Amino acid sequence: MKQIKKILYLMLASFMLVTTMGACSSKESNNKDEQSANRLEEIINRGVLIVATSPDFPPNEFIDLSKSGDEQYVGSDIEFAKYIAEQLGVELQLEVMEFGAVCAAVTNGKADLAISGLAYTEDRANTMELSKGYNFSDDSEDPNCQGLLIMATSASSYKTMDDFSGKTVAAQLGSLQEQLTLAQISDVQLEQISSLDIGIMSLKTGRVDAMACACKTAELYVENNEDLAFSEVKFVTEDTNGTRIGIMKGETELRDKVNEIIDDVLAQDLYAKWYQEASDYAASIGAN
Amino acid sequence: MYAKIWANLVLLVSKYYKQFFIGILGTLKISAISVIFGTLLGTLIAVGKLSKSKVLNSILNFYTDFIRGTPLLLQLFFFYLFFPDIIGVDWSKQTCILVALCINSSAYVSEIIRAGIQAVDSGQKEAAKSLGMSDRNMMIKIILPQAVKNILPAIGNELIMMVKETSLCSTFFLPDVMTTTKALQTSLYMTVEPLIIAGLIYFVLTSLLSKCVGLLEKRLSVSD
Amino acid sequence: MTNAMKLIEVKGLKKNFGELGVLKGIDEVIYKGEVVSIIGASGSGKSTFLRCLNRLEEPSEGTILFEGVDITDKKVNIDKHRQKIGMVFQHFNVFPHLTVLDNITITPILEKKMKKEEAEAKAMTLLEMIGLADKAHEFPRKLSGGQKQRLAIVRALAMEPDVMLFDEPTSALDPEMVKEVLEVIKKLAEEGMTCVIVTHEMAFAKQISNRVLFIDEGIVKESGSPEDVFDHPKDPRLVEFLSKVL
Repeated sequence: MKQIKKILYLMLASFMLVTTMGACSSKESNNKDEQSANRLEEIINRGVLIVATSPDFPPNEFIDLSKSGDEQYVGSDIEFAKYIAEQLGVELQLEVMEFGAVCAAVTNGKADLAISGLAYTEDRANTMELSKGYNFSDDSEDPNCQGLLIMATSASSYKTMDDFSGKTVAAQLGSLQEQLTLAQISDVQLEQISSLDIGIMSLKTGRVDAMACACKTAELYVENNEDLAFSEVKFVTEDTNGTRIGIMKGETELRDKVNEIIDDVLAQDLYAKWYQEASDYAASIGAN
Repeated sequence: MYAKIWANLVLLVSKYYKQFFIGILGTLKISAISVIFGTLLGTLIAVGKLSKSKVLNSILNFYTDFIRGTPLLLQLFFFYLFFPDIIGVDWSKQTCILVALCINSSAYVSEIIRAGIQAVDSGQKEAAKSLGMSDRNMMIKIILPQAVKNILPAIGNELIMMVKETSLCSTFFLPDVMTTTKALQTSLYMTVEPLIIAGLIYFVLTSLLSKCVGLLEKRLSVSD
Repeated sequence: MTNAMKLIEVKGLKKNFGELGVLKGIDEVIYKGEVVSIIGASGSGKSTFLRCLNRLEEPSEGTILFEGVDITDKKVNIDKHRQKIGMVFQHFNVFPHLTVLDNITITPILEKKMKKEEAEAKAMTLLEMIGLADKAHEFPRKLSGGQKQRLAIVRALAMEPDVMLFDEPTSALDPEMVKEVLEVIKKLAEEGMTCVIVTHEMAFAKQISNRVLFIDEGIVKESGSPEDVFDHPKDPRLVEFLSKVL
């Protein structure tokens, strides 16, 4: 009994010591590696690039269940992440989690980059370094296009944005769509959701009247669900200059390096190619 | 609409049974690890709680009250985002989440063990003491063997709870039934159907485990 | 009697449970070979007094010398002294998860480092003495109340104590089983074991004791030979008590 007590005391004491020490030094430990002057150097030293993403956003990032392990995470953003790792000469490690946790993982230093179809918003720009936009396509499709998914049966009753006023609209928590919904639909009842499938389910079961969603993603859902439709009515989007990559605040060296790679990708027109491939891929694995 | 759901269910089961199977194994593995390590840690905490030291008592009581009084999902986020930095380690996402689950389980199990020990007739303790048995021997040879009868079924129930609670791991895409469900939802653009199957799986798993706990309870009570 | 024969010496013993004073100052000596019965009404403090003797209850004040050592001193290893002080409880408190034999041998093996064979041989002798040798490998749930209490007695004896404390050993028994337990206690007393017995069995106390203590309101109100206490009581509270129980 006395011995057990001793051990317990020791455990507790060491736990508390470590905790307090850790708490005192947590400022430094944000830049974990002391030899690295910044995050970019740290990545190179560590030999691994950690990318946070939420794979529920086809065709940017989604899951192919016929594969296993990290290989099952596919999409144009994943290709992009691979490319960045390659350019830095390091391994890629994906940290997969819900969208709401993706930005937290980056601001917290758990991941180096957030590549998850992030659009520019002011809030995000305040808490993170945002890269240049990278998702541009020069054909008719506007990657900034944002609209509303509705049930096919009610498609005819939504002619203008005003027809959505007073309705219940689902949008992903902390997303651009959430902001657009609040800003552009008067008197809207916002239903915050953690992932898009929950929104689809709410829509199908009549709990919400519409779901705010990027146009490309919406198209993929409509193709695979005949009871859904994509409203003609679209949000008015400012030119936010495409999708961004999220980086921890203050890590300007890493941001500059990422921007350099984006320039290179855009120059070669690589992202548009990945995006097209991923769109076909996403459409091909649907169940229907 | 129902015909469509039925067709999708058939398709899921026939084509993606392997993914569900992996999910089931994941759920069982994560739950078992949490409860096993939770029990080891929980036993130490329970012994500490039963000691006479007031300081140790209040620290440990705060520990269990705090963990039982905050949501598991919040703990998962805490252990993923902050804990490794606080104690200065470099854990993978999976390790962080498993540690959080073990810590969570330890708080519940320590209460189970404490209650199980206290439920042993106080006369047993007095008899052992009057014979001159040391506290340690009394605990190991007299009290714990009798407390096990109260404790084991309750730990079985904790495992059942964990099977359900671990579905929160899908927030971090740890391989379990709920993560499989989410993956199927996003990759097949199905919504309700994977949930129906997940619900059935959880129900069957917990029913089977309940049955086992029932049998265990019956066997243990025979020795009364 | 001489100093050398004092086995237990109690000085100024007080015990409070919170605000409630249960023992209010007891000075008493138990001599070696004595059989002392303690009588008194429920709640008089007689069980608490007995339980203080092996510190199952921590005394609030006063000292208890056992074989010359102050066992109320926090620095003594009380476990070692308890091995010399056997105790039998009202509710038997046999260990239900151990066989009859293991109930007896577990403490000698664990605490006195006795060899298993030796402990078991000794336990069998004790079981034969109380007529339970054939139950050695049964679990206590198969025993009657009287058998359980007899087992509890030899379990304590296996530690070879210098004194036996009995805390109302027959109160929880069915009437037909009281006798078999009293027989065992009587035999022990006749063999010279020092016994302190808290009991409601007045006839038994009168028959077996060298000395009877009457405890009332937390103090020893009267003490003397069984004849003095039962036949010529002086204290009015004792007279009143005896008129109720006899």
